[in-house]
Amino acid sequence: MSKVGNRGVIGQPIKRKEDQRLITGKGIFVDDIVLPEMLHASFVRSPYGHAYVKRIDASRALGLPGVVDVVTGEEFAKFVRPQKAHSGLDSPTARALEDYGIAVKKAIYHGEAVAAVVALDKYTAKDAVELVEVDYDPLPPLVDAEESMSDGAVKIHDGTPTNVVWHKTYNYGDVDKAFSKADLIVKSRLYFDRFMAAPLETYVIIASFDRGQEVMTVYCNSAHPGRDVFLVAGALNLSPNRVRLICQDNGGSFGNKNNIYPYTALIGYLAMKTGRPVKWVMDRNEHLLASGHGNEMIYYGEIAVKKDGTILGIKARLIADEGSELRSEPRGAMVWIRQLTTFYRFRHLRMEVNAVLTNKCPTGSMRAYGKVQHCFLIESLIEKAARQLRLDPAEIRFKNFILPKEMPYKNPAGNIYDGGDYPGCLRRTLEMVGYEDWRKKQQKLRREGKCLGIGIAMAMESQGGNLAPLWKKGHKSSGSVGSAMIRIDADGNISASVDSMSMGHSHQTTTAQIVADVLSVSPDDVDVFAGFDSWITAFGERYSGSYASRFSTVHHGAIFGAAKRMREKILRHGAFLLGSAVNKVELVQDGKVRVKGTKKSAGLKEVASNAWLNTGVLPKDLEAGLVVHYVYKAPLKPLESAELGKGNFSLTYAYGGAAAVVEVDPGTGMVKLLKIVLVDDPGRCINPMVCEGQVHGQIGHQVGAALYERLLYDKTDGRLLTSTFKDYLLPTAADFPTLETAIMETPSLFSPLGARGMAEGGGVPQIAVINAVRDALSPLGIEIDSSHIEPEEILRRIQERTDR
Amino acid sequence: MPNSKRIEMKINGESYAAEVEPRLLLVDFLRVNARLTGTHVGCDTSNCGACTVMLDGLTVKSCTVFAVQADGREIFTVEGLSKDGKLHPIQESFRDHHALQCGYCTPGMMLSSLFLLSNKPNPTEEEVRKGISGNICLCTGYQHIVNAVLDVAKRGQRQQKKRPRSGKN
Repeated sequence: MSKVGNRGVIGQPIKRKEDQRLITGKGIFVDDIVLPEMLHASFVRSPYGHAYVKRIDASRALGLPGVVDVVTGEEFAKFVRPQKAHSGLDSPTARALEDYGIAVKKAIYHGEAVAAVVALDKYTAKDAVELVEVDYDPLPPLVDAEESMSDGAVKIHDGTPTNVVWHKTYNYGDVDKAFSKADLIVKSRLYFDRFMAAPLETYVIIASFDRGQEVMTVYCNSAHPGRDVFLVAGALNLSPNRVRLICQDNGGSFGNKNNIYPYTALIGYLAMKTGRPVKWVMDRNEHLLASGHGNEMIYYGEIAVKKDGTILGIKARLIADEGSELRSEPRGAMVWIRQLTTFYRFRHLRMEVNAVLTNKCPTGSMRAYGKVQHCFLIESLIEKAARQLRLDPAEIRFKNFILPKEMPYKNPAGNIYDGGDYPGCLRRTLEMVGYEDWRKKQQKLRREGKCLGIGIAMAMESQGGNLAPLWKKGHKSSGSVGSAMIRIDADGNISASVDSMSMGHSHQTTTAQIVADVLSVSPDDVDVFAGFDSWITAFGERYSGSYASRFSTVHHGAIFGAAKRMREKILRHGAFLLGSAVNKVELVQDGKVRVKGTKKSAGLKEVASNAWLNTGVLPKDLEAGLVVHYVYKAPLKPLESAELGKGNFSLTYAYGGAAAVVEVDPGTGMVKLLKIVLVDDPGRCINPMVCEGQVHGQIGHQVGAALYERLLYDKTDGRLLTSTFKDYLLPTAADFPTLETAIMETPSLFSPLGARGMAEGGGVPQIAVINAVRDALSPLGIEIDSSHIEPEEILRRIQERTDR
Repeated sequence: MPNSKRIEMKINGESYAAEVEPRLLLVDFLRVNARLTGTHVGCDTSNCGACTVMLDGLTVKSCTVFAVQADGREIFTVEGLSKDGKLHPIQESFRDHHALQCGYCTPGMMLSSLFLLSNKPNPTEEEVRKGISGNICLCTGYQHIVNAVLDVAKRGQRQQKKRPRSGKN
């Protein structure tokens, strides 16, 4: 067994525990699981963006050999309770929403399920889907949020007064006074394009109902299984402890698999009804149509600045296009409001938020959820102000940064930044990209008629969120708990679990590192459960899951806390075995307990065996066995005012800087990414190799968002035009230059191990790439207002300029 | 089964035979009939490469090949890479360079990389990027994968130099 070396394994780039099975094809993803007598489900989906379902005739489908059942939305609605996730929102429309995950009377987005087929095999199920005849009565689709919020608009959910599901204005400081002192006010209508996290593994669910014990077992690839246990139990009228939810290997989520739960309830019902296990594998077309999209936003923003670049305040009106149902939303908007000032010291702002329903796929969690949208707004306004003031985009940022000596810093919304070196991060970014040299090169190339652009951006991302007070009246704080378990068996084998499963995050490895560090053993000696099982592993109620970059805050806290308690237990049992006092013993190499200053010691196996098996001799106050279950709560204070949106909503505020260099071909509109640099500050790396990989992933996803990935709906018929990977383009290896990244480690002042969440990064590469395209096109007088740009659009804009 | 056809193929050197519908996709034959679940499905339209396997030594996307087209031919999948518990150099390199995160694209990515290296034993970074551009990875931004492939090539070159030349070569 290779020893990496006991204490001090935190911070080491050790190889991953996950890899052996994954590189040999022995991982177990949900679709790899086969249960006896298992049936296969497939959904009939609406070809319309907005249409009444008049009649469903399943007779031909039911006549196909191998078809077991066809279940319509109406039948589901009789037996499955809808999600009413938004009863706490002060909005009549939000309160009226009943989300069944399937169309009952009306299909409200292209691809919404209208019926399910269950058959003996996958091919037959797909055949039968084609045989289900559905009569629709189409309505005009609303794909534009501004149109949808107008008074005369058709209501997407019948009987609701408006398509606006949430409206609120937050005021911090005195924004009008701040604007009255401005030398320049820059206004912009900006647009954040709709894209999504498109993990290679789609949604997969197997549900199996034990009629004897009345237990529903669900194998699925959810990213938020704790919540899903409660949602599925509620939908199927089971008590949550009778829903056993199991997740193992997961082919990526990036937020997307937080949105699986409506389907879990539907597949659960099919298993209950048929009395057999039912598997459903979403295909890619369905995944693009009907999983969960990223937030799309329209902003009317204004920034007030002094001539020297000092930012005085920001005003913005935001229209968040939530799609047809509220699933994670409007949490994204709630999060972003808190951090609008990000790195900068201005104190005056006014934010008006409108969350609006449209006939599009419901939006939900996605990497940099809510943050990339707000960072895009502020970084875009700063960029435009700099251009108008003829200031360098780096200079205006340096002028306004909060400094390290001011940490912890309380922003106008009451968020308390947990440390960091913002100017240092940008300086490092500029050095790495070779900013000055590129600026010189740019001048020369511009004289040659070439469109070279250099873009920089900074973005912030909060972790360990505390939104409950905004969400549920009477809750002072929540959301910031993590749960971990450690068990040492009688042979001294250590197993651990944490209620955050890896979906590429490497949690098996990093959890083992933390436990090993505290228990003075090798990470090789710590087995970590590969996923989540609500009956077996650590389970922190509805918060269990891998979302919002929580691992580095609450899960570190849970693992670290559990390991420290286990250490205490080992020491107490060791001291008893050695006939010594607890304060006279210490834990040394390989988890051995030694009487301080002597050679007298007992090995971990010996201690564990005594703790479990020789229980008759243990003193009364010494608990038998070596088991710890620890729940960590983030040290967040109750909010100052939930109504005003004031208070600290997160434990840590991670951040990063990025720089991109692009060349735009004015003849074709093609953007070539020549260089991309990213500096990320995760506070403290548990495993630098893993951290580097996560930072690379940020670049991959967000360069895709800027230049390739777009979910485009047809305005007339409401159909999604980019519904396969032939139209929804993902970047390939050939689309990237060598990625250049660096990790800064400015420890968090508040998190248990000094770490901040990483891998989301607030979407900084996307903003840097867009800023680079803006910079490239600025000599032509072209402004880019959207977060995504395609060659034909660039070409059209260039054409417009030359035609003028 | 209507129009079913008996097919037989070698997968990683072992014979597999079954009665299949002509429309059965090769990837389903591998995953369902042969229970070799290391090959994955990502897109159904041959864009993502998660289902990449080798058919008579050439990489194919097994989601767009029918099982009957592989009748009498040889398939190689991720399960065939390691021999007697010893990892193949491409597997070692993927692990050493942290070239996988969720691991879903990894089997296809390794096979495409091997195919690239069989044609270009000493590729440049750009050639590696082009060579694996039929395989999508959403976790890694590709950098560690590119590094892993380049390193296998480098290790291979060193091996070549060490090995005494036989008369035929």
